[in-house]
Amino acid sequence: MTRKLLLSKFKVIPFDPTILIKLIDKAVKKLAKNVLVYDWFLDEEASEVYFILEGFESDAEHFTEKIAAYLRGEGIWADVEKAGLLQKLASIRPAKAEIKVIIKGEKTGKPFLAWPDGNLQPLESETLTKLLLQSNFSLDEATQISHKVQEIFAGRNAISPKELYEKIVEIVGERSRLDELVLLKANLMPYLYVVIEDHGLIRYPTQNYLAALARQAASICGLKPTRHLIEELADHVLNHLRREAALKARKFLLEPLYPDSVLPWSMIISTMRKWLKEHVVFYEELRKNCSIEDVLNNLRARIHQAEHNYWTAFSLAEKKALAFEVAYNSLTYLSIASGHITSGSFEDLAEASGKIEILNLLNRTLKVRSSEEALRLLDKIVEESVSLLKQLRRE
Amino acid sequence: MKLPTAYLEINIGKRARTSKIILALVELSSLKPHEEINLTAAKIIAKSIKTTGFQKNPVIADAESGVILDGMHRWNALKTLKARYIAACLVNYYDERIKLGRWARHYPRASALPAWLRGWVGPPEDPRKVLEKGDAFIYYKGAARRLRLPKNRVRALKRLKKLEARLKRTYGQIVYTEDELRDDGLMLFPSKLSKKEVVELASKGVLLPPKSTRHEIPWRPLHVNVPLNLLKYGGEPHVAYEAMAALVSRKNVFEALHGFTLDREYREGVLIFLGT
Repeated sequence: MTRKLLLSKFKVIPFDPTILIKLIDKAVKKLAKNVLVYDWFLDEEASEVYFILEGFESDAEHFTEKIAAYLRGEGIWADVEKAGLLQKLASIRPAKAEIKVIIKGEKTGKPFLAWPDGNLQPLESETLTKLLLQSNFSLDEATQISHKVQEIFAGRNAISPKELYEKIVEIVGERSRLDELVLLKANLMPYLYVVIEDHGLIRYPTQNYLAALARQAASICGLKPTRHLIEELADHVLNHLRREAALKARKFLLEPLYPDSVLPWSMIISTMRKWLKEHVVFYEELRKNCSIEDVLNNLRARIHQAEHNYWTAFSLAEKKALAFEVAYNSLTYLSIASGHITSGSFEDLAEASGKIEILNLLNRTLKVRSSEEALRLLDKIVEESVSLLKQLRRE
Repeated sequence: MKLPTAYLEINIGKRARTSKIILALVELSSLKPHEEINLTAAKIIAKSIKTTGFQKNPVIADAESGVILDGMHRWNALKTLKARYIAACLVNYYDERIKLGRWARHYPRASALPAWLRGWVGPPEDPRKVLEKGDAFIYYKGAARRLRLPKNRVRALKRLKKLEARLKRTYGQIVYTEDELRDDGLMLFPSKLSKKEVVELASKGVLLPPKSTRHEIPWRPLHVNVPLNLLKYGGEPHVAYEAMAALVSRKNVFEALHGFTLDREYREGVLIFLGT
C-alpha cells in the first residue's frame, strides 16, 4: 500500500455555503489525523463538497466517513458520492503536464499586479518598498530590490503576486533571508493564509474587496465617506490581516495547502465600523452621545472663538495657528454639514467640502518667506473660512 | 482565429500521444456557438458566475475557426453579464483524438411505438449496422428503423427536434445517453454530423438544435476559475491576456484519468487547477 492523492466527493443537503465553510473549516482541523488534506472546495452549481487528500486509501476512506458523520451530527445530510470509476475515492496525481506561458504582446506601460480576484493594480515601486520594509528589510535593501524588480518586469504587462514573490526570492537568495521572506509572502499574499467568508463565498482580502466592505461599513453607520477615507480604511484592515497572515506564516514556514483562517465578513465590517468611529474628526463629541447638530454647534462656537482670538493676537506664530484652526474647523463643519465623513486630513476635508482654494491658500502660506505676505494670506484664510460658514447658514 | 498575445500552452501525455491545448482569454465576439441555447440554463450559469465572481471552467473551442465545441451556455451567460472576454481552451478540432459523436434520446417509459410515428420510419433493420452508419433512427424492441428526413442537414435536425419534443410529450421523461443501444423503452438517434459540417454551419451563423453534437476532448481543464473582473477588464487587451496567463500558470494542477466523476462523469482525461 502506498500513499496516494485521492479525491472524494460529498453530496450535501441543505447546501448552505455559509454554514458549510464554517463547519468544514472546523472539521478538517479536528479530524485530519492520518491524512493530509491537500485542499477542499465547494461546488455551488452541483451542491457538492470536494476534498483532495493524501494518504493511504483506508485512512482516506475513514476520514471521509468521519467528515460525513460530523456533518450529519450538525444536521446536514452528507453522503459520499462516486468519484472514481466505481469507487468513492478517485485517484489523482500532480499533472505531468508541461505548462508554458507564451507572451508576444506589446508593452503597454507600467506592469500591473493581477490579484486572484481579477483586480489589477499598477506595480508601484513605493508600494513594493513599503511591503519590503514591513517584512523587515532595510530601507536600502527594499529600494534596491524594488528597483531590480522594476527592471526585471520592464517588458511585462501583468504579473501575479506569486511570480513577483518568486522573483524577489531569486534576487535575495532563499536561504539567506528566510525570516524576511516568510513575512514578505504573508504581506504580499495574505490570502494564502487568511480568507474571508462573505455570504457563503470565500473572498480574498485584497485592497478592492476590502474597500467594498469599507463602503458597506460606512453606509451601515449612515456616513458618506470620501474616497481617501475608504482607501485608508481598507489599507488599515489589510495591514491588520497581513499581521494575522504573518503569524500564520510563522506557524507554517512553508506555504499552507489551503488558508488556515476563515474570517467571517461580519467581523471585518464590525472592525471597520469601530475604527471608523474612532477615526472620524468628531469622535469625541459622538462619544459623549452628542447629535450631529450639537457637534456642528460646538464647532461653530469654536470657530468664532478662534476667529476672535486671531484678530486680537499679536505674534505671527499665534496668528498662524489660529488661522489654521479656523480653516480646519470650517472645512470640517462644511464636510459634516454636507454629510461627508473624512479621514481628517486637510486634503480630504477640502475635497469633501469642495473648497480646494482654502487648501491652496494654506499651502501658499507655508511657502512664503515675508511676514507681511504671510499675514495678508492668513487674514484672507480667516475671512474666507468664516464667510463660508455665513454663506452656508444663509443657504 | 487569431491567437491572443499571451496564453498558456499545455502539453500533456506521453511523447507520441502528446496533446497540446491552449488556455487563453479570448474576445467573446471571436467565438461562434454551433447549437441553440437554452436560455434558462444560460441564466442559471450567469447567476452562478455573478455570485461566485469566477468563470469556473473554460469553454472548448476550435483554435482555427473559433467554433465553440463545448460551453455555449457559458458563452451566452458571459454575454448577458456584459463580459468582454471568455476563458477558452483552444484545440485543433481536426485532431483525430477529438471525437464528434451524438447524444441518443432515451425514453425509458415508452411501452409501444406510437401510431403517429409509423409514417416517419422505414422497415426494421439490423440495429448494429444502422448504429455504425450514423443515420438517424428509432430503436425499439431490438429493431432499428431509419427515419425519413429531409436531405438538407439543418432541416433534418429541426425535424428531429420536433419529433423529440412530441415523443417527450407522449412519454414524459427523456434521458440523453451515450451512443449505445438500450433495450428498455424507446431510443431516438439523430444523424451523426461531420466536423466539417459543424464548422461550416457555425461559421454561417446557423444554430443546430440543442444536443445535436457530443464532443470528446482528450484532456479537459477544469476549475481554472478566471475572475469575472478580468473578463470585464476595459483596459488594454494585452494586459488582460497576460494577467490571465500569470494567474493560471501559478496554480497547482492535478490530473485524473478517464472515467472520473466531478460535477459529471468525464470520459476524457481531466486537468484540475487548484489554489491561487
